[in-house]
Amino acid sequence: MTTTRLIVLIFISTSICTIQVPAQETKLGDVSDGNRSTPVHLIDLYDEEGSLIRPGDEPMLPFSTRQTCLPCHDYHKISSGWHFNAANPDVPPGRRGQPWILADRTTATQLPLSYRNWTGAYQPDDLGITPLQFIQRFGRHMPGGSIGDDEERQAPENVMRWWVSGKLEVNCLSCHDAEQGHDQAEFDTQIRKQNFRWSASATSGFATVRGSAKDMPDNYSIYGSLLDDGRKIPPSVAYDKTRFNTQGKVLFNIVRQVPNERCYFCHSTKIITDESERWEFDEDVHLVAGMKCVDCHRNGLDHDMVRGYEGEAEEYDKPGAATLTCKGCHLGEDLSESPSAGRLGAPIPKHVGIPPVHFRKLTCTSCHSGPWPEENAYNIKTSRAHALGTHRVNRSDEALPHILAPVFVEQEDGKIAPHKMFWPAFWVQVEGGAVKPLDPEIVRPVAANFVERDTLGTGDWPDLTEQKIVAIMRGLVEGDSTLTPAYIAGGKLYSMTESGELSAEDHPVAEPYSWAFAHDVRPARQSLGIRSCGDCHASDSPFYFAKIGIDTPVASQNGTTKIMVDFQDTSSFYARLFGLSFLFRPALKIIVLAASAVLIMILFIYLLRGFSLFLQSNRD
Amino acid sequence: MNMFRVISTIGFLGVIAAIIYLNRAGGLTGLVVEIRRIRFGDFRRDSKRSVYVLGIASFIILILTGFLPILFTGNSVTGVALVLHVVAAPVFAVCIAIVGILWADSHRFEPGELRNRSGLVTEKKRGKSSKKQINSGGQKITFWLALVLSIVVMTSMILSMHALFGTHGQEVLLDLHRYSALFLVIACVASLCFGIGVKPVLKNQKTEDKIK
Repeated sequence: MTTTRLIVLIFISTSICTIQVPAQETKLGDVSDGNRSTPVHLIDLYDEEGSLIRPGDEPMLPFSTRQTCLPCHDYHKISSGWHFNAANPDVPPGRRGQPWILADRTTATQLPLSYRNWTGAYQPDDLGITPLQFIQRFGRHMPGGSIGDDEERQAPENVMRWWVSGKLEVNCLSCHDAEQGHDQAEFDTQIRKQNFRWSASATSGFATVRGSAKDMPDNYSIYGSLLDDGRKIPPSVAYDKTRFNTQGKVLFNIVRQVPNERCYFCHSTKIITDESERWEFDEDVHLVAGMKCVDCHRNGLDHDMVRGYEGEAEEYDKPGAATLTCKGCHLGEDLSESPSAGRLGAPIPKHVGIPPVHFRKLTCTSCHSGPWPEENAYNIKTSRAHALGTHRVNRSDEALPHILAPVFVEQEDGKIAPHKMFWPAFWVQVEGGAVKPLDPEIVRPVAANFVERDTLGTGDWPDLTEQKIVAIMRGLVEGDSTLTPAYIAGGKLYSMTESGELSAEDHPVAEPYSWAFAHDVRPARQSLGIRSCGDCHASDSPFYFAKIGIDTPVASQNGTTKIMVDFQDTSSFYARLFGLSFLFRPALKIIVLAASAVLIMILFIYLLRGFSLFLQSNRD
Repeated sequence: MNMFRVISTIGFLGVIAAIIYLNRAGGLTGLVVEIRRIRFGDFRRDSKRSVYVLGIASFIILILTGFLPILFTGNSVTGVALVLHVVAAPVFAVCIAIVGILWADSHRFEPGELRNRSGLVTEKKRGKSSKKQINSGGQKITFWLALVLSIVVMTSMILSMHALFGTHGQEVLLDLHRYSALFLVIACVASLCFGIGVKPVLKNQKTEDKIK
């Protein structure tokens, strides 16, 4: 009995010892052999089931980026990167960034949304916006992945739709495709049609996608379904057969160094001026010098991009990121044991005549980035906020959301930095003092009865009078008597009193949402302070006193403004007083220099006298 | 806590100790008497005293606005304090220049004056109101030291206002300004300490004035 037990024990322990934990598989394309040239991507196409795609297949299926790239790249690791991890609660949100802005003219809404836990931005889930709805609205400027690739996040009521639309996988081509025929705008077109699984193929330049998954019933199968409505076209893909070689492989023009144009699709900013001719604007000085966005905004296999702000290295425990900030490249960072300044040929700035306090109070971008501040902050449009670059863009300069820049705002670290800013406007439910945003879709049917149609298609605010606001609130209460609606706009909370009148009060929820920006960087000779201290310290300088329009659809509040200093930890009185002191600065310099000269002369004279007395006493 | 904050804290503790000592020894009385004697019109009749008091007043403003922020918050002077600092600076500059012109001669060193250690401090028993008796060797040293430090304080700040020095140079100038200002304060208080014998002299002078 004992012998048997011993044998069993030896067998079990031997078995345990021989069980090997499978090592993390390193994919062919994920580790460099040291050769710096770009590998040729002549590869097979695979559909989402992992089956090979060959010309003449029936039905012809779209290629899946996951399955096509998976043989050589760790898709799972890549899809945890910054562009794809917004919905992962374990990822620290980092410095507040640009949210997705739910802009809707009918409900007079511009509401900041983000899956990241940024102060002032709302979680789409809290408004009842499902991932499917979110993608349909904002997927145009998403590179796939995230909520589009996570079955667990899908709302139960949308499960069948996901079967029809397919997953919105990470579209590697959005960034890495250097092919001239790559069409990212097509991504938006397919997203709108719920053709999620077809969207990457559609952008590729060698595939054409027709039809709309949105028109298909919930029980539609991509392998063939009978449709009761012949006018509805099922989604399908057709490849350019000449792109397949004799082995059935396709050449992708994939580059590791992402071209700037790929970044620009989602990260462009248009400054709205009276003379908005494209040729009048310059690009970021770094790009003009021949650099690429990804020279600074780098990432490893995990695709965790360096955002490039000070403090990021400590926040994410990425020491290397510190060398890629403005300071890291141009001045060197303190953590490094070896010299780190001058990366990529970055010149070391002299900052002649600039008191050191400026470097403690201001970010580099304050003086060097964005448009030169003028009397009024500019209205701007951004790719993500205004769907720039897509076929559905509203080219009107008045189109919502209304974003202002540059606004010099004091950050959490105490430094002033240029920000983009907008004033949130949305309908809320007030519950015991707490304010919770209402889904605009709840408000829309009521608001549509009172808001005039946008016949000119400007996309601008509707003319929202106080009477209309009250009427909409009453309409909402009639629809749902449990509601206590209120409206947020222009920094105020509008609510209905018991007597049925509209009252307005300042409310923290109505505070403007702002996020720091760093581009476009201007040349050194166009940086603030280049002419004189008066660039910022004049008693009317835009840095402190530029007007920031309080953007609101509420007619009675139109035209009201704040000034830049209202967003800094400085009083306007002091800013003006300090500005005035610069008027007397030349006199101050003359007086103090003259006094110094007098003292030097006195010292000189008495030193000479003392010296002569010394000589005299020695002679005696 | 940066180095300058530590050093200035130690320096000011010393200054406060010296002021307490002076007060107990009655050395501040002379200064108080000087201030109390000022009346409207005095500025015209007794320009020397007026300049001295104005200089002291502007110097105190500069000390308070310049050092309080660094001592209590560790930050450089900003805000309204900075404006006050900038306003008081030219007043101090003018006053120190005039004080230099008017007092330089009375603070000349005589041959062999400093050979004797006792020559550093004004002796209380010497009650004659002679300028040479008022200004002890110690006072003379601190007077000339104060002039030198004033030049450093002023020029370091004025140079930083011109586009001459880069970031490193600006930091050096700022440090120069701060440290020289700290030593200027110490030199002035030391001057008061050395001039502790001023008190009886001024008392005598006051009596003489009354008699007149």
